[in-house]
Amino acid sequence: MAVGAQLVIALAADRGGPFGTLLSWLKPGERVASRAQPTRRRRRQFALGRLAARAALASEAEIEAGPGGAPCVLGTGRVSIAHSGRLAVAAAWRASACRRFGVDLEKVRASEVGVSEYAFSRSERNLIASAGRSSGLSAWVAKEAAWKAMRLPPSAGPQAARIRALDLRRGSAVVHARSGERTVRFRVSLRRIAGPDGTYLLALAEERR
Amino acid sequence: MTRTEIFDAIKGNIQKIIEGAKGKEILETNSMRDFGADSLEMVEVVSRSVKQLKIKVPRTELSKAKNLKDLVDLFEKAAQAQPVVAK
Repeated sequence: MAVGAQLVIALAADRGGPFGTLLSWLKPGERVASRAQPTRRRRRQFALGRLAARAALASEAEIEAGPGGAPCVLGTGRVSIAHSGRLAVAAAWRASACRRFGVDLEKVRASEVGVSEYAFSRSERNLIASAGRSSGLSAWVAKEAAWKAMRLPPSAGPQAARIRALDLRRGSAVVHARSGERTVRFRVSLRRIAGPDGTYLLALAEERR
Repeated sequence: MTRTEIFDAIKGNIQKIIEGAKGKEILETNSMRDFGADSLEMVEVVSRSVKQLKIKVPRTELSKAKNLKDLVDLFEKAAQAQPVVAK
């Protein structure tokens, strides 16, 4: 799916076939990285993410793991990958787009994340409470998408990106993320999509100028 | 609150929330990533444990924890700093 002139999004669903078949589509380095994942679920998700990324990039180039595990591809293409359950998504764009993008994905399920004092500040929790039912998970994927767009290290924590607006009716959020002294603003599109085993929440963060 | 009680609470929540940890031995040297946890599951384990143990831990400190030992250390420090209320 092409979104705008510069961004392509691809999805890959796990239909439950043999792991060897999934691996056969990967490049040698990606196979090694996939096998090194700690659990069966993560091994399959990793492979699925690489397949989605290759489709989005429309390239046969190997996708390496950069600092913090973020996907890294040689050349002019850039990619962000997310996976959850049996679905993976990748967003690809050209470096010449001169702005950051990030994706996140979560299978819809009951979660207490919306009231978590670790995940969200008091003002964010107030926004979530007023946004309605299941808004916690939406806020989380919006935050994660911006966080990934910034390529922040794990030590930055959830507080490095802040939800400033959340409108579930329109499927949008505004997230501010810190990069040193600078604040980067993201508009996040939120969509519910059907996966092979249920409904998923997809967030796409796009840097605003 | 003892260190063992803190670790038991964290382990219990890991077993409940992280699919890959079910039925596995969990050691202080492990990280949640060892059981295939994603970022949401990790946040849920931390949030639920903090609530269960009735402690307050600064968000900036939580993000620095690299494994379960770091988390137990943080929680233990927070528990010791809690005011004791006489009944």
